[in-house]
Amino acid sequence: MLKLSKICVRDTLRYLDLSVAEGERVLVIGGNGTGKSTLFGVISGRVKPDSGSIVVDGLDMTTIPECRRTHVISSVLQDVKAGMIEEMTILENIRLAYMRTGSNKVSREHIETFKDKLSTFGMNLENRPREYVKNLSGGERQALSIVMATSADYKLLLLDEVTSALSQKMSELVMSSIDKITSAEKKTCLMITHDMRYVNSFGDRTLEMKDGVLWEVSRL
Amino acid sequence: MIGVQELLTSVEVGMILGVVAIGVFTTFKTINFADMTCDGSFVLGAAVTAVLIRGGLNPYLAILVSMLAGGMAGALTGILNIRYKIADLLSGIIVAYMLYSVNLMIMSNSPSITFMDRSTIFSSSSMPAIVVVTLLVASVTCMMFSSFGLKLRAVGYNRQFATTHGIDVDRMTLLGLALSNAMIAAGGSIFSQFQGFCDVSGGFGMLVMGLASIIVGTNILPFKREPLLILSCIVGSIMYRIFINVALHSDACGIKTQNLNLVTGIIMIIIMMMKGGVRRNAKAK
Repeated sequence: MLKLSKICVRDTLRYLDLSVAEGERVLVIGGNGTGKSTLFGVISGRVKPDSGSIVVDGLDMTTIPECRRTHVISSVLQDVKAGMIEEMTILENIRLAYMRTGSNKVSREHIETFKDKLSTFGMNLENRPREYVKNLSGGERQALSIVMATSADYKLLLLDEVTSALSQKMSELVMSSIDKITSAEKKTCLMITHDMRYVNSFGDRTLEMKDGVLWEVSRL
Repeated sequence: MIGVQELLTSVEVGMILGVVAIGVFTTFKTINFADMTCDGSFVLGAAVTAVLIRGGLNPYLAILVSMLAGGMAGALTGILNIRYKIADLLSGIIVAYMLYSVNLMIMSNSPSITFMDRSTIFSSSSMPAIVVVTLLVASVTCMMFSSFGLKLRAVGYNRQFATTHGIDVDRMTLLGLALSNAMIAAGGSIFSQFQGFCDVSGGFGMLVMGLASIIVGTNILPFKREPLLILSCIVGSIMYRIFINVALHSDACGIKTQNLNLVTGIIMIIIMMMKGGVRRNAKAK
């Protein structure tokens, strides 16, 4: 599903190899400045590698245009503000996210699916579709960004430090909701975090970024 | 004092020029593009209409052809900006500047042409014009609620977001500019039919008038959702016309017709200051 071969980015990533099977959920941990976000940048196409290849679902990510890349990879960034439009409502943001794959019509059925996903977070967002994003709290925005990322069809979900700006209670709520959504959809998911609480609990395996390469972490 | 007839004329002119305000709103607010083509495309719409009606064409068809011409002018501004990387402000200024000559050519190098003796949408009553304006406003409002409008607004709010969500930003900017200038040209077309003549310098100050209408409408009316803000442009344009008429007819202040630009500027400043005051008070509370 995802295959990185001999990726080099300046001194940050050094001949990094990674293989993730279809439907597998992988957690990536590591200290500050170890290159976790650069790795995500490389996979999503925001960072151009000096060498190596990135293949997602059989497509070479280094050659396809950005508008086609959004059909394959969906991401939730650390800075949630960049991933949504504050001056629009919850529903309008989700409609835009859904239209990412080129579809213009959002049916009632789809809207119900979005509402179901929003209800997973237990924040009552599903009953406030016309609420402006600028009025939402940090946790609510994070929940919306996750629903937006999973609203349209995708092959790979990238989650970058999604709980870093949240309280402990909110982090746990968001993580359990991500777990429910990603396991229900059986989609390939790669998540990076600083939070060591989830090393043994989230996903199928854990990798640690050290010296520009990934190491397997044995789970308890 | 302003009379009832003058008040009704203000409402009528305000409605017609509200279509221009919607065009200005589409570029300045919706797609966040400082388009200066307005003064040129307004006269383009008027000139095309004048020539076609004098040639015997149906006045309603003349509006449609004018919109097409205005749309092409807007698209040219878009091409200069997107394809040749000329700054938005400058590309609009260049096109508006060129349109002055184009408009003169359309009008057979005459600075003014009249068609008062021909049939227009105002020939029987003002009702057909009101219907045309209502149809134009309803079409743009519906468009803003559609997927196309959603994408257009996304481009204006956050270009990076739009790009990462698979929206072709350049295409949307081009279409937004074409739509905006088609509306402005429609305003020019209807206004020239209202007056029964077209003047090549009649577009001077139309952009400022459009911006003033937006400022009056969006600051006075409580609408928050952008598609509904389109209605604010029409109401703002009518209110702006009434303000201007009241100001010019108030003998006590000693304001004369030639002080129009000064009065327009003062009205805009007062409304923005009032809005700023309300915001400051809300924050203090």
